[in-house]
Amino acid sequence: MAFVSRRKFCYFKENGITEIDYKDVKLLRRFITEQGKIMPRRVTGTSPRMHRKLVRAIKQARNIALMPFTNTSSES
Amino acid sequence: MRYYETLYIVNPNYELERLEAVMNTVGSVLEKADKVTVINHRTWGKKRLAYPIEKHKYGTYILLQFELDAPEFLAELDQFLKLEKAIIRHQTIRLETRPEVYVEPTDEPVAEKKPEETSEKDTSPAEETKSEEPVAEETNDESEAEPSTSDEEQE
Repeated sequence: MAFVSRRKFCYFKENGITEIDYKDVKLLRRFITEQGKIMPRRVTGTSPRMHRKLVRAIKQARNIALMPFTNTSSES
Repeated sequence: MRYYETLYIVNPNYELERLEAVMNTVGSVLEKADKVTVINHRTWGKKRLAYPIEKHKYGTYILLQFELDAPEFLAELDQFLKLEKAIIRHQTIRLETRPEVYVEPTDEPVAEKKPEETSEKDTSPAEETKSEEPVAEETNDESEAEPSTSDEEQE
């Protein structure tokens, strides 16, 4: 899997999303790792602006227990 | 005029009448304050919590959206929600745009994509909310796009 040539693109830009709702767990789930960490921009290719919004939404979702802070066991 | 959204989690053991009672007390707090217009106040459903809160694994989510002139009230509301025993967690978010008034298509909380149709609105006001478990979905879109040379697309 070393050098799979693939273009990064901003998911939100492609789909015309400008605002991210923290309640949209289905969407946010794509941008966290299995452990529940937020994926870095270099991996997801998200534009800086949308990444900031994404991070905010994920943190809000975590606070209200819609998303995990950590996910150690093979749960979910 | 600013719009706010509070999502709070009620103890999962509270159902039907007791849940309604909690919602009513929250509603009464909002009523007491001036210049508050409640736009939405509805159950979002009983959901599995991503991590346990006060040893609860599940929680009933209630979504409250309102319009407010005096931001001082937010501290008051926060204090109230904190002290209310039935509420195990809450969070208030400021909205940029006016939220749409939620109209119940059926007697269900907001469903993702369920084209269910009912001929007429039922008159039963309190039906048990459907518990939805979050479905783990790991889909990483990795498709090839046009071969432009810029590494990052910025605005």
